[in-house]
Amino acid sequence: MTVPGARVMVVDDEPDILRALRASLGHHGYQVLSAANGREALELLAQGEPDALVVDLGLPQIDGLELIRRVRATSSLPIVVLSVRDDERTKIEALDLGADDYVTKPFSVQELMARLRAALRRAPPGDASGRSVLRAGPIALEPETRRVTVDGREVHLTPIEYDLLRVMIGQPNKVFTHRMLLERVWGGAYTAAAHYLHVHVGNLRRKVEPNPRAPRYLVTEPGVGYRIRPDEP
Amino acid sequence: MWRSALLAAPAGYALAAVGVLGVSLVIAALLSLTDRLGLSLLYIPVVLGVAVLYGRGPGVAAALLAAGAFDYLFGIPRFSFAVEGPQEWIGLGVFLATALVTGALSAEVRRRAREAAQRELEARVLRALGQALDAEDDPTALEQLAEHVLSRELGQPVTVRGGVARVAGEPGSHARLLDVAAAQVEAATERARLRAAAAEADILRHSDELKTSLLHAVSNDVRTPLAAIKAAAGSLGAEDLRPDERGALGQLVEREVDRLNGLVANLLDLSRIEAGAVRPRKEVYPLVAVVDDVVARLAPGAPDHTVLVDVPEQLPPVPLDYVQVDRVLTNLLENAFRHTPSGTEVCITAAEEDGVVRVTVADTGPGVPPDALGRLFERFAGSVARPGLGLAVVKGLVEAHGGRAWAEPRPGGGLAVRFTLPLEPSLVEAR
Repeated sequence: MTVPGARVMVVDDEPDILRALRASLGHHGYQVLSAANGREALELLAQGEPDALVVDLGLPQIDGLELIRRVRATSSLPIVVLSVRDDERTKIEALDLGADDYVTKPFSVQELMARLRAALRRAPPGDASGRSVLRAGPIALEPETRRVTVDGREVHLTPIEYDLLRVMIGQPNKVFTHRMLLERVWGGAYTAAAHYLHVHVGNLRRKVEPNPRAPRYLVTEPGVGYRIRPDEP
Repeated sequence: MWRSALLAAPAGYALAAVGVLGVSLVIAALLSLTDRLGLSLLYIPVVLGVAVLYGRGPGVAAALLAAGAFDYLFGIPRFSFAVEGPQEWIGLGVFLATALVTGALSAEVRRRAREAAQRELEARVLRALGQALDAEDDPTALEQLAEHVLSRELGQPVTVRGGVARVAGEPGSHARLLDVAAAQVEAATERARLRAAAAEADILRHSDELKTSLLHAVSNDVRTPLAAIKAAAGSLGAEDLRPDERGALGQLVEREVDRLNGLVANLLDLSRIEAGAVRPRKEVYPLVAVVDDVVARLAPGAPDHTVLVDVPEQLPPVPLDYVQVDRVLTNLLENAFRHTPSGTEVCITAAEEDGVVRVTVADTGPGVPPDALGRLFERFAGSVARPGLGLAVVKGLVEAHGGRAWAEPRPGGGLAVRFTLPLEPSLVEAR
C-alpha cells in the first residue's frame, strides 16, 4: 500500500542518497522535496509542511538532532531518521526527541518504504487512547476494563506487563526507547525493578505472542528499544 | 537509627519526669528499710538512661529534677525545699554533683556513638557510590546512577541534578554527606569524560598501526563483493533484461552490500577492541531473546543449513550489551554457515555453570585440526581457511564483557565455539 500523493521531505547532505531516494520515493507515488542541510530544510518547512520528514542525523550546520528538536517544537508530522550503525546513542536521542522511527544506513528501499508507510498511517498520539479496544494482530486490549485477550482468550498480565503493553499498543509501529518505557511504566525513577525491563518484556511475550520464541508483534529494536508491529492491513 | 533531635527533646524531658516520679515512689516504699541518703543513688540510673537516650539537656534536667524531688520528698525537713544542717547539704551536694557528672558523661557517650554511626553511614554510602561510579563509563548516566545508589543506601528518595544532591522533600537531611556525594559525582563525570576522550585518541593512534595489516587482510574480502556488485550494475543497464533477471540482480547487489557492511562493522569493532575502547553497556536480558532474534534474522539467508536452538528458559537473565552480543552470535553463525557444507546443522546451546552462562555454537562441518584451534581467534590468522576477523571480534567483545571465548572439536565431528558471560549473583538467586 502506498499513500498516493503524500509529500515527503528528504534531508541528507549526500547528493547520491538524495538522488536515489528521489527516484525510489517518486516511483512509489510520493511527491519528494529535498534539502541538503538543516537550514535549507527549515526554510522549506516554513513554506509549508510536508506529510512526512526523512532526516539524516549527520548534517552540516544545523544537525539532524537539532532539526528534529525544532520541528517537534511546533509540529507532530511523522519523522523517520536515517542513521549509521554504531551510533545507537544518537539514534536513541533522536527518538527521545520525538522522531518516530529510524532505518540504519545502508538500508533497503523496501525497508524505508515500509517504515514511511507505517509512520504516515499512524494516528497522531492521543487519537488512539480514545478508542475502546486497541489491537495488534490477535492481541486486544480494552483500556477501560484493563482486559487483555489473545484470539479472544483472556490472558492475565501483571500490572507492569499491562502498562508496557498499554503504552506501546496505543502507538503501533512507534519505536519506544528504553528511557520512554521506564518513564511511562515506572514513572521515570531509576529503580531496581526497572533493571528488569527486558525480563518483563520476555514475560509479556510469553503471554501474548502466538510463538514467543519468534515474536511477531512485540519486536526488539536492538540496543534501542521495542515496538508493537501490528499486522499489515 | 537515631531519632531526630526536634522530636526527641520533649520525649526526653517527659521520660526524665516520669523516671524521677517512679524512683521517688520506690524510695518512699523502701524508706523504712535502709539509709535515706544511700537511696538517693537510685535516681542515678534514670539520669544515665535519659542522658544516653536523649542527650545532655534532658540528662541535666533529670539530675536537677531528681535532686529537687529528693530534697522535697525525703530531705529534712520533709515536704519542703529547705535544707537543714551540714549533713543534708553535703548529701544533697554530692548527689547533685554525681548526677550531673553522670548525665554529662552519658550524653558525651551518646554524642560520640551518634557521630560514629553517622561517619560509618557516610563511609559506607560514599564507598558504595564510588564503586558504582567507577564501574560506569557513560558520563551522562552518572547522575541517574548516583540517585539510584544514594536512594538505596539511605532508604530515602534522593535526587541528583546539576551537581546538587538532596533528599527529595527534605532538603536539609544528610546535607554534609550529600554535598560530598555530589562532588564525587561531578569528579566521576569529569573522569568519565576524560576517559572517553583518551579512548577516542587511542583509537586514532591504533587505527594507524592497524591500517597496514588490515588493508592486506581485507582487500580480498572487499574485492569479491565489489566485483559482484560492479558486474550486476553493468548488467542492470542492459535493455533486453527480463524482469525476473533484473530482480535477481537487485537481490545480489543487496546481499553483497550486506556482506560489505558486515565486514565494515567487524573492522570498526576490531579497531575499538584493539584500542581497549569497547565498553559494554550492559542491561539484563533473557539470553534466549537475543539468540532467537539473531537466528530469526540470519536463518532466512542460510536456507541450506538447519539452526537448532536449545537455550533453557529457566536460565537466569544475563547482564549484556545487546548490540555486542548480537554481533558475537552473528559472527559465530555466519562463520558456521560459511565453513560447513549444505544440509548440515548448527546448534546453539547454553547452560549455567559456576556463576557464568556458557553458550556454544557447534557445527557438524569438517572441523579444525587441533593444533590450529588456538590460532582461530587471532586477528588475521585464519583469513584463508577461516576468517579470523569475525572470531577476533567475538573474542574481544566477549572479553570486554568479562567472559572467555575458545574453540574445541565437537564430539562426533565439527567445530564447537564456546563463550561465557558472567552472571550477576543477585539475579541468579532472584530467579
